[in-house]
Amino acid sequence: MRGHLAVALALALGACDLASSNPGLEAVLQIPGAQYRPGPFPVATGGPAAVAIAPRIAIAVTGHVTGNTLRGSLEGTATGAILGIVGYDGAWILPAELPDFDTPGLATVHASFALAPDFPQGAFTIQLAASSEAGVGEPVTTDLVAVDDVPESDLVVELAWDGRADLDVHLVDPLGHEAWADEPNTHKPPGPGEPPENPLAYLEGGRLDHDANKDCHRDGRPRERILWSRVDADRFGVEYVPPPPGLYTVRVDTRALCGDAAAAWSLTVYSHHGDPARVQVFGRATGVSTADDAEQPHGRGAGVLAVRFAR
Amino acid sequence: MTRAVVATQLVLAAAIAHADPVPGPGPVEAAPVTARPTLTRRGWAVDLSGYVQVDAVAWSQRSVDELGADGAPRNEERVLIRRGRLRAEAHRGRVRTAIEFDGNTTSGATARLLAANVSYAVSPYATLTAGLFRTPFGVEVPMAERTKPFLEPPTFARALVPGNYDAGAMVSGGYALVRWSAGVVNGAPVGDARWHGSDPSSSHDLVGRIGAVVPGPRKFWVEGGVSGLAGSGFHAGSPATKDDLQWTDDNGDGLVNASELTVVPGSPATPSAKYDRTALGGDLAVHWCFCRLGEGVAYVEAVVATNLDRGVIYADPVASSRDLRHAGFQLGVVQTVTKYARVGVRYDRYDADRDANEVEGVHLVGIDKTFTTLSLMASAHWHDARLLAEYDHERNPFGRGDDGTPTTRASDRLTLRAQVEF
Repeated sequence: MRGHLAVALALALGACDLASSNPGLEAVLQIPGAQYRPGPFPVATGGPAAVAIAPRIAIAVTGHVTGNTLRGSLEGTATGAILGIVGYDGAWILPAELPDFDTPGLATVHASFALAPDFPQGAFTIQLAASSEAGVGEPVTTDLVAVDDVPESDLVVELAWDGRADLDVHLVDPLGHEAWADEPNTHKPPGPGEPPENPLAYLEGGRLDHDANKDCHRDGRPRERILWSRVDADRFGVEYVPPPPGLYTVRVDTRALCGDAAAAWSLTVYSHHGDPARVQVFGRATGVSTADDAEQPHGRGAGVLAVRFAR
Repeated sequence: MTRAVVATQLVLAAAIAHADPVPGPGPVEAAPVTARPTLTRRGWAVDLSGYVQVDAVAWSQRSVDELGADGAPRNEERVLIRRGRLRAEAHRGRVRTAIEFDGNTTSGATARLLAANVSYAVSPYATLTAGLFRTPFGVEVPMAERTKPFLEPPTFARALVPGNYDAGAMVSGGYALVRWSAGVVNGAPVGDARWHGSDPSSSHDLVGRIGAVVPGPRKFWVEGGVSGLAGSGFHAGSPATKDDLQWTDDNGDGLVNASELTVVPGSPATPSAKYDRTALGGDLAVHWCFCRLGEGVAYVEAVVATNLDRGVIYADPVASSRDLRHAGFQLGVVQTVTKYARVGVRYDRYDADRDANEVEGVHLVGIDKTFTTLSLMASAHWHDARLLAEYDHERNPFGRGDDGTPTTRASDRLTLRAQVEF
């Protein structure tokens, strides 16, 4: 009732032509710093034309901003630009910018964008329309390919959580070697007095991809993976060594809660061979880290047991 | 002796009335302050007062169940303690002191010192005050929140003197129809968005107001005044930085290529700088009384300022390489309806940067950084309790329209307030 009364007052006072206060975080396309425009992409109403749209690279990793940039050229009379994905509601409004050196006389627009983490993989189309007081112009489009950021691997141990907490995944392989944030590889280099090995031998081990929320510096979506990467072996031209058979142990260590009251985490063990349909899950575990966990010792052997599995 | 005591009480009343002005034909009328003090063994008359304002934001267009970039919730539809004030005042002879604490849950539970000052009544016409007090600029800023008819100050007041209180020394008083106050303050009010009341520079701001109260027949009276402020703002320098290496994965292959590395060279420290800031304001209020209906007031207050915004869009002319000129005003009418109700309407407008511009395509065009609010208010009163409902229709420059130009981001809201004072 109160909402209806307020809406009636707002309409009576002419509040119907306003920009949305919705930050647009539920949209499949995200453009930081731009104005979100809910609803379908606007139809052309005789405004200035968009001339071209060019992404920096044609592959967009879902959930990432890095590298996902595009540039558009607009007719010189344009004062704004509207960006969206064909087939999806929700668009973003940006002010038109000065001409680039290679497009004199044309207004431009530059944007960094991200795709929602659950955006479907495959081809998609971004559309760009120019706009001005005269209306919205006909859009131009460009095709890109969305890929997820899960690497191809025979074995991935992935720890994911929300919030600011600094958690560490620990994995002990069947040979007794442990990998975690401080020693991020199950492959151990030769000790003193032993003969040197191939400098690329580290690729044989299971490696931690990164230390998420390290020292409470927050990542966007904190998660850590320890994996045996076939792609990296191919890239460096070394023979791929699969994960050793036997019993694996995975623990979760709570370095610090970083101001959060608790941290709920989930751990998944799977293999991934490029095709999302071929992701094979070996095991899952969930848990909650509390302040008590953060007071336990850290380092080798630390953490609470999450899962044990054999392969 | 009796006359001396009465005179002292009148002066103290005038001083206290300045600290917490109430609507009325002048400071010397505010006598109730000595009606209920407790006398201590040392001979100090101590008075304890306070009030609580509980707000319920029933509806807000800009409320959304998300977090902002700073991690703070963006939900505004909630119940909060807007102000919980506890004030103690003590006076003995010509000396007076006051201390006031504020608690609120506007941004989480907070308790803070709000005012603390000492006063000395030099004569019936002048009182010296030192400490933390309301900045004597205009009418809106020095007015006590407990007596304001509308929920919050107009945007220009929140921008130019955020938080109202500043530390310094002030002399104030009145003679016949004239009221005046002048002070030297730090220039860092408690609500300063950057410095939060801590003064970064040794310079001070001069601020003051001179006005007059002209009584008329049948409780009709007019008051008006002119205010001014002159001082210095502070542009923070930067510390020395070391060389840094930055990697941007341009091609998204997860590998470091030489072309993706950028050296960010270190730089020496840069000095801080000061800049001038000024403000000039004027105010006029007409009070009347419809005897069967109640009292009413119509008022206008206007301000022009340069480089003074410290609360809404922070003014830093060093960073922006030009002076930032502001202008704001408010127009309001408030009418008491019997002794149980009051209604009012207020329109305020604030241009945060009169010379603002931006690139729109191939053109550099002037843009409007104006905030306006139309507030409709109705309140019910019973003894020292008040229930208030206010609808605020706001325009701001934070959104963008389809044509890419700045427009209002929806921000209307409906707020209910319960207030009890003692």
